[in-house]
Amino acid sequence: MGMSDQQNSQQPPGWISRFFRWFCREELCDGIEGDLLTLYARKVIDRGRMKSNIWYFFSVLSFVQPFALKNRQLSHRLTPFDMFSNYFKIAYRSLMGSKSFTLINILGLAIGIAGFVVMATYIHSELSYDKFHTKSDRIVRVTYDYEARGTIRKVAKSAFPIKPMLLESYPGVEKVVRFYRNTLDASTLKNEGNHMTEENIIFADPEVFEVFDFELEQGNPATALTDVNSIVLTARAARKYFGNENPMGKILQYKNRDKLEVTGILKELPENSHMHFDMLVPVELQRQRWVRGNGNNGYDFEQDWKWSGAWMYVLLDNADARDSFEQKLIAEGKDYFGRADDVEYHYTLQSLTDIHLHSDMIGEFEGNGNIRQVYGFGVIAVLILVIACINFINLSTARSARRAKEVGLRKVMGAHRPQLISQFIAESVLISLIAALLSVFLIEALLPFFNRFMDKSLSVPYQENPEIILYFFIGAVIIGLLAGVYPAFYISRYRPVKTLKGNNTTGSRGNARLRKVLVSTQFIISNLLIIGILVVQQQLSYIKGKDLGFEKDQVIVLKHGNKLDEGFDLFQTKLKANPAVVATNQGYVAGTGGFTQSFKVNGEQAEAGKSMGIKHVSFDFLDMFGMKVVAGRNFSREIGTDWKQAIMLNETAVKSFGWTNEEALGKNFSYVGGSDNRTLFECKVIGILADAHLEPLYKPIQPSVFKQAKWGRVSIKLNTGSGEELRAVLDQIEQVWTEVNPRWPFEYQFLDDTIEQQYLKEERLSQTIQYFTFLAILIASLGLFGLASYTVQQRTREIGVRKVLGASVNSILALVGKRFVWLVGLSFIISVPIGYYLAGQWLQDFEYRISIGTGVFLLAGLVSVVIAGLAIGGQSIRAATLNPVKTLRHE
Amino acid sequence: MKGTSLGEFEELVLLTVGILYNDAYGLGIRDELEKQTGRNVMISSVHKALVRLEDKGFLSSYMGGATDERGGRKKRLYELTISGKKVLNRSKELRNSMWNSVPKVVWE
Repeated sequence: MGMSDQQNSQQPPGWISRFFRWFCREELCDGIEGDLLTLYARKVIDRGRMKSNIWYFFSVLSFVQPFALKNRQLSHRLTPFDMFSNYFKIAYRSLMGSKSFTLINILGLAIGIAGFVVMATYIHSELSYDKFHTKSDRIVRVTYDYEARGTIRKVAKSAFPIKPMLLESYPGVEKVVRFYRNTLDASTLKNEGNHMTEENIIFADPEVFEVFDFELEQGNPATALTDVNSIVLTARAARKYFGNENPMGKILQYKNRDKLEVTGILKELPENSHMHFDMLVPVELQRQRWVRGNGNNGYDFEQDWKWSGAWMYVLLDNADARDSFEQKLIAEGKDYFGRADDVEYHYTLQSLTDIHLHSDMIGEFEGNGNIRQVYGFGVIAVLILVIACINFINLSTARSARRAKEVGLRKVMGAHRPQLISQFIAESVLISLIAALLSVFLIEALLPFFNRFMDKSLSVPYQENPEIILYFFIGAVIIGLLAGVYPAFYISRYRPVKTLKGNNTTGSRGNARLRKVLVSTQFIISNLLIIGILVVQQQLSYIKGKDLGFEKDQVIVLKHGNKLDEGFDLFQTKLKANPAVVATNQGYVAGTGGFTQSFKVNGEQAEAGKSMGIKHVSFDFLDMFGMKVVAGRNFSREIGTDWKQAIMLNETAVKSFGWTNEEALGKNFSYVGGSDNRTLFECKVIGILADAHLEPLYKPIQPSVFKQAKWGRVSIKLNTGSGEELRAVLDQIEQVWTEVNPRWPFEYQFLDDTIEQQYLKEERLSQTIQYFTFLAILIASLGLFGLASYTVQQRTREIGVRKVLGASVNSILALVGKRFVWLVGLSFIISVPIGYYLAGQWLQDFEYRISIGTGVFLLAGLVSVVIAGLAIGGQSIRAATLNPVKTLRHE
Repeated sequence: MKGTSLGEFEELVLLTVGILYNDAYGLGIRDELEKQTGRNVMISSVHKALVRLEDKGFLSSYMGGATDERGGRKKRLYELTISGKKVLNRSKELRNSMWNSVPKVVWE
């Protein structure tokens, strides 16, 4: 047909039109379809294609009414419509005929679907990270692998001066944006009346809004960060300082010094971004602060190739330029550090959209997700659905005997097998549709719960994407088909002669075998999940309870302690008067992150440039954190040279050089460092410290060097009893703080809290598995309960006869329970090796981990036996204690 | 058969066919109805009513010419039959006479 392109684009999907023409009376067709098409064309303009298509579909459906259907005059001829409506009518009657069975079936399936959908929303959100940036396919991050003597460390950041070089000599690079977060000390912002610590200030290049789709509510994205003294912040952050006033053009003072003008208001960042920040300030501000900073020798990171401080994102001309760009970067990147050590640097690229799920490097922007966890959750989601479907199949086939007569009769009346099959499938589709409807409510109830412990804000966007309702519908029909196909084929196979003779047990042998397999599958899955919970929880409590080698209790870390600098001595002296203060320390805080330096052993060329952690500490460090000296001596105030030249090593560092503790003492080291990254330090080993887990337990203990310094964070060890006492002591410390350092607010964190937060991810994982295991077990035991009650029902007469003939209650219990106990036992045996393997895989992530003992498996077995016992027990006991007179009179 | 009785909606449709005179077809009737009553009217209910009214003999219909706008589909145009006009008249008279039977006090 000669239809122009523009008209074509306004056509609804062909299959809906074909469907319409198929059922609609010919003489009405044109009149109605013309109306619908006109309306459709109107909708498309203001609602978009997707919504209009859905509208069109339902509008066409609304014409499925007698007046519009073909063959209206020949109402004696049956249409497919009549057939379906008959199927559903029969299905409805048969479902209402056995309400408890239907209820169990629907409930089980609804819980299964709800669990599945909740997981699916989570997975969907994990997979959607950073895709909201319209240029996401062209944005890459520059990262590097740091290879020294066989160990490779992947680092998410790179050096600042790479930016101008990329722009200059790399074709295909359109823009480069660097981000930097100052973790050296806490930042504050101040205006009249407010002085607050801001944890999430990020330094960024002005092009940030051209590369990324971070939107501004107010302000001009092109110029917002071009001036050094400008700041862009979220509306929420602005409200803290300015209340309801318009924050644009207002002034905030950064770290008591630089006055910044508010030049833009950020829209709240989407949850599915791998980076989040409350405020942005120009990178240039940080550079200028350091260049003019006192005693820093004018440190300029734009010239420093050795410090990888910036997250660097490159916007390419086109996505195809990536390969050639990466090759050039790998080839030339080695030389950017300008060093000829045995250390190698390989610069590489990473797609923006890969960062959240595939990147776990040193110095990530924030804790990323994990693709393996997403897969794991996906598997759990599917397993839960499988368990629910298995219930369905089991209960339907088990009940089939009861419907044998119906099938027989239908066949005698001339029903063909395909007709019977469709009828049973219609029944299961009806169940799954009702279950899907119920699950919508369950999901709404479950999601807030899930969100709370995952710290997410997931929801099913029915309003934004109404097609989800269509997916629900289709999904439910598919589940109905899958779950209904076997029972349908099975039941429709019955031979009418046999069933009508009353031989009810026809063919139930093979049927029972399948049921056994399915029940075992359910129990294997439940067992695995139980083993999963137990292992995760044991590992967690192992980590929490593990002796870290240092004391972390009752230690507070001051957020602005580093601002004390020379004032620390006064602060310390004043606090000494307080009996509740055990020690005050300046410098490295045990259990937190630190820096890495390249150390040289003087006179040993081969061992040049070994990378070790460096921890700047004060004289009180050892007492403060209860760390022990295993060889040599501690730092001493009395020995003048200790201040500048003494270092201590930990045992791991000693071992990494292949020395004994005694050999290590007295060795001379040198390294380049200091606040300008250029000063040469010479030092000598005076003592060896016992190893302690200063890093999270995923990682091995890092070889570390401890050195004196008069700067860094301030931590205080307290010794107080009750919470009230603690509050009083904190008040006293605050008073001292305000006397010594009135310019900065007094804020602190408890060290044990900080350390605990490192394991938040595992905590969440454990809770998720816990809840979903609970769901899985709930569904499985529902099914088992249904199955058991059915079996018992079927055997009431048999049990009655046995009792009359003298069987005891116990022997009848054994008779009924035996089958299930056997199944539970078998599935337990199968699940042990699988569980052992999977749990072992998960534990690989931890450097320090539990060994999986038999206890876990015994407990899991016990739990599943108890659950099975509860599900089956009630029914069996009821059957065993029934009065045989009643059961035998029963027919 | 209750063939001669008229539901409220059917009466409205019938009147609209009268209003639109030469150009009374499904969507046009719906749009006019929505305009007059301010209610949302399903397009399928309009067609349903039209088919019924034609069955009852109050309307007759013929196919209009094809236009470009409607995806090339023709309109089915409706017009009032003599009995259609009669039934409208009857219902109006019935209403009027009932109005007149309401005592004046009621309105005060």
